[in-house]
Amino acid sequence: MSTLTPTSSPKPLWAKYVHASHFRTAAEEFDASKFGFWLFLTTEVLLFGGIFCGYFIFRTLYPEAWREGSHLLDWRFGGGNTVVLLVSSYTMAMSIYCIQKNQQLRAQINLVITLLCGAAFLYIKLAYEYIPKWSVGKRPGMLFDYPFAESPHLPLWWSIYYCGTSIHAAHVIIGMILIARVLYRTTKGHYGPTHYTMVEITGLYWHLVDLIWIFLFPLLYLIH
Amino acid sequence: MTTLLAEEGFFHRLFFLRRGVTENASDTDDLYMWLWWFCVAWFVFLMVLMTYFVVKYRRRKGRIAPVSASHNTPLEVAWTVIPTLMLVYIFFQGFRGYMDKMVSPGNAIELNLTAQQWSWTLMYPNGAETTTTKRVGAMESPVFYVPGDTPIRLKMNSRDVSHGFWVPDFRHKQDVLPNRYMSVWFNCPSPQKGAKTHPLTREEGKASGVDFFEDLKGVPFEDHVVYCSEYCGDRHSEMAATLRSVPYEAWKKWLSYIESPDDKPLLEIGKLVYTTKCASCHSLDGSVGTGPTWKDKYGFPQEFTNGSSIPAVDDDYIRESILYPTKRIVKGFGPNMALIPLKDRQMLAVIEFMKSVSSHPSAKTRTIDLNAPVSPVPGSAASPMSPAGTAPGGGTAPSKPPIESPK
Amino acid sequence: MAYTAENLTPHPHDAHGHHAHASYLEPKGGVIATIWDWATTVDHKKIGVMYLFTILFMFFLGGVAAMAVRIELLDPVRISATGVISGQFFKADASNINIGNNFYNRLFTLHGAIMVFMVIVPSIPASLGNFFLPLMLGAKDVAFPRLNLLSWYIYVFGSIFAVCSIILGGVDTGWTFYTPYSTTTDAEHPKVVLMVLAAFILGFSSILTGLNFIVTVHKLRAPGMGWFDMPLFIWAIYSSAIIQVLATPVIGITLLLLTFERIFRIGIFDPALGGDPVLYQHFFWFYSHPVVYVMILPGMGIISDVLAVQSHKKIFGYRAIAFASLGIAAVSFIVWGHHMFTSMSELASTVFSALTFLVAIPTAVKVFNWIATLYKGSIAMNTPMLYALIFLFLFSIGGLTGLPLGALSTDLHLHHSYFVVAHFHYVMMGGTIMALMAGIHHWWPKMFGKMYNEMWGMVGAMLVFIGFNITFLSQFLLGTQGMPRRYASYVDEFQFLHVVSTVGSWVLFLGFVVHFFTFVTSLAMGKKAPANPWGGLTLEWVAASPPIEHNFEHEPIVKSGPYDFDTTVPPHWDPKDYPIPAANLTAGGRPKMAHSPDKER
Repeated sequence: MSTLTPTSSPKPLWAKYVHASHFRTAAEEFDASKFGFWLFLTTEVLLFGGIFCGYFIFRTLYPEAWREGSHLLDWRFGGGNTVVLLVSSYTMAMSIYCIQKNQQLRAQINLVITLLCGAAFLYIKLAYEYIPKWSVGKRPGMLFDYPFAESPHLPLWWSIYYCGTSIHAAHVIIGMILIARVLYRTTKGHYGPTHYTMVEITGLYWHLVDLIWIFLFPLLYLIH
Repeated sequence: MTTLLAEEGFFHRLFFLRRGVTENASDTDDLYMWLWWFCVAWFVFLMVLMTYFVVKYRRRKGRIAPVSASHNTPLEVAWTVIPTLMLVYIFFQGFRGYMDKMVSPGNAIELNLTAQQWSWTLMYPNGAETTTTKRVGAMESPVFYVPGDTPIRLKMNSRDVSHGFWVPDFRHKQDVLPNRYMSVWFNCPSPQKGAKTHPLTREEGKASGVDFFEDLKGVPFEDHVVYCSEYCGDRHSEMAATLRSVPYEAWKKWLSYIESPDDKPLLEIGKLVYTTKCASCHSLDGSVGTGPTWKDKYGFPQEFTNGSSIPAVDDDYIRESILYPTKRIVKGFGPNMALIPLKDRQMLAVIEFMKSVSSHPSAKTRTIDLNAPVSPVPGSAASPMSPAGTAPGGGTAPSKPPIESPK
Repeated sequence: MAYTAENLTPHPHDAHGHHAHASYLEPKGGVIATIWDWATTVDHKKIGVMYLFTILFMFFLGGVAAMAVRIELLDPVRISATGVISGQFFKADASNINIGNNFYNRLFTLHGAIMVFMVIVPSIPASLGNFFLPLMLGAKDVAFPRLNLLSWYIYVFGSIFAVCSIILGGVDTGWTFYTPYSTTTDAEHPKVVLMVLAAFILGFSSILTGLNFIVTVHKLRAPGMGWFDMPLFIWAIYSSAIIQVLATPVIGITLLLLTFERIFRIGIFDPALGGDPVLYQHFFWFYSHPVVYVMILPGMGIISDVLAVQSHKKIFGYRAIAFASLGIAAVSFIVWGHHMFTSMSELASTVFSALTFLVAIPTAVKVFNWIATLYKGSIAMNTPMLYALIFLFLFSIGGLTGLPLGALSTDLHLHHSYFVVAHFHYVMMGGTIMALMAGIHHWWPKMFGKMYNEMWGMVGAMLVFIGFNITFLSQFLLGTQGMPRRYASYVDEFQFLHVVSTVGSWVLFLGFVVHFFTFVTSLAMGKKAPANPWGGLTLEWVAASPPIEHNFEHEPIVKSGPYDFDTTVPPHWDPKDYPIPAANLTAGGRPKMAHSPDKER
């Protein structure tokens, strides 16, 4: 008797995933990866901790410079960036949820929106903040050239501002690279309900990037 | 702290060579020697025990270690609590001595100390600055006169990078920072019997390395070396000074002596300014340092890093270099010169000094031999002029030697 | 029998060929294939060996710099710095002081930077830690093997940055890069920036290693191995990894800000713009103090294991040592100000001095525990044991000399003098390096499957010990007598002790040369090593010597404590060679309770 078995569609890559052999189960690997990544996030928090520490020390020493500096920032752009990042965090979390439900297309759409939000953040920062400010002389340290400065220590404010926001922006770029890679691999079917470690980890990283901004924004833009 | 603990015993001399000069210093020595014996006791005890165990319990064939306790609560509590109490004691002793060193008495005389790469400058209460030097190691370095048996507080600041002010004899140091004042205080005893004394003549001064001062002939003194203790670059190891303590009355005479430096010949002032503020970067023998050598500089043409040049290094350029150090930099050098504030008289003195080390004809200055006998004014009723260069006749008044170029 | 492998998880034989049961050192093909295999390996053992040889090489480079520094100090003013340039050795020359001093300053900076960042910090965790952590836990590898390989490449990459800086002329800031000097020295930026970035990059290697270790200890222990069944080496590596993860980012941001300060003059450390140079010191030492515990804790872990194994004796106070390791890691974060007593306020100095004495307590407790371990042991005398004893001797001196440095009034005299130099060499070299040597010899048979020549090993150890003491004991005296550190020249009265110290350094160097030859001859023609030459009980001795690629034939099950020498026959040993007296066993073969109740097991 001939056996005409219907050709089933090939199994997606995520279903064929085999965990690394030094772990006992895939669940153990997933747990370990998350734990390891939380440790890495701790190091990122400490890295920015140095900048926040510098912020508070110089704020205590030169409050007039801090007052003047924060007035020179436009909270609308900062606020806009905050909204953008919050939206992107939401879409990132949604993409993980979609992967868990095997809604591959919706996951990819969410990832794309996340990327667009990241790009919007960088664009707003560059076009509406960095470039206009740099051109009028609001620059860090010895590059400072703003003619209307009242406090002699205003250059320090700008140093903290640029250091904090540029290192943050570097992390946004790194995050976008990670998301782009996850997006690419999602289109190839690497992630699904039983294996989505990298998506989860990228999500964690993106949430940290957002969280750092949630702290930077009020400290730089709102507190007078 | 008892003085039974071998204040000048073998081990104290081994560690410190000399006694701690001030009371705070000898307190520190007492604490240190106490700690030394504390550490020796613990170390010997632990090492003897360790060696004894290693020998007694060495491996022998067929013998497996018997069961023995792998913990013993009373013992472990004891060896945690007892050292803790000892450490608390040590902390308090250190703290006491520290506060004694850091809090100066209200009646301290305040002097201002400035550090720069790579020299020290002390400003006395009358505004005068360092005026004499002594050889420490391979270099001449400034000597600061301080009164003995008087509390002195130094208010310290740096012109550039962080330095450190360390007087080993006082067992005390503090960093010297550019953005704030730091202070040290001390009260060193007046020089004791048998201390060295200031030279009685200029020749004796040259031989002993201690400068001769008319007002300080025979005055006893005690020198305490000062080192820079915070790494600050090329001549960090050459940034020494000497604290010279003299009796209080002698110190007051010293202040009035240095009060009017206008008495001193420009060349002498120039040499002093050079030694204390310029020597760390500019050599006199042609060798290259952080800055160009002064040998054969005055009067000779000079090119600069910005492409311009002058046909001769002259008084104006020297003045400009001092006031605006980075305006025109000698070719082959970087913008390394700090702004060193000099009074007008000091600038003139530096110019004279630079001339004295240059072989250019324009640098020759006519010297006046103050020892030569005063010739009678031509046309007066006195004897005709003696030929030039005659040695002075027998005179009874002490003479100032002719102005000499520095070696 | 304890710590034996049982047949619980059958090994999937069909997935591997014969290579699975060959030693990890077995070459996979020709020369090119072998190089490619090692360059792309994710095997923690190969990565550990690569780290070991790279670190030993950097140790040699840093050591050569030190020898040059000491030769320069033979003469009070000048020996060879300008002489080397002009080709004339031993020409005392006081001219060109700036050039000669500058060269010297670059030499001691090089020595410090290489030794701290490229040798001592990674020395034990990256080499022996990488090799033995999974083995001791009964795991096949660390949690993130590819990250492990990445961390080695980052180490190499960072070291290349440092080498580039050296080739361009090197840095003269001291390894501590204090501002304002480090931001203003050298008109051209590349030399300083390259060296600072090298340290920044190396920090990532350290973070990734620490992260890997923490997750491995939490997630990959063999069945039956609770936290208190782990060897103390693991506790030490774990505590040290926590510090690595928490402290290294701070030096990261510090060095980044230092680079910005230098290139863009952002001003946070520059007084002219309102910044504070002491702020840099705070940032710097917030990392650099905890990192000295990263350096010493793994060494202490090795000593615990070596002493226990070589004495066939249960370690005294297992839990005390384990908790002391964690305690030291915690307290290490709150004492950094003791490097800055001469530039801080009285209040800050007082607080930091008090806290500093706190950290001495768990350290002292450990030393007492180690010596108590020797009591009633069965102590073999061989190179690892000799190095462990040398460690106890030298580290005790190092630790005790920390007392006059922690006490405020004596520190005001000793800070930045040769006393400090002697103190930290006693703890870092007399501590960590001696422990590293103990560990290398102890685990050499396991790592390479060969024995080394015991007699020459001990000769090397004694030369190192004697040379070390001559070199550095004299430096304590130099310090109290008034010799400042980082001085290229000095006054005549210090010359005798400097000469003594330099001669000592030659003896020290000779000791390491002897070790080098011992290692080379062992690899070339050493006797084949048994699986368990010393009779250890921890899981690495269950594996073959050298281990197979997957470490264990079958996943091991832990059945008793890591140091139960009195009741347990070591794996691979014949019970006839290890006769446990009946008195040690209770009826039914269970361990007997000692007279003073032993609550640990």
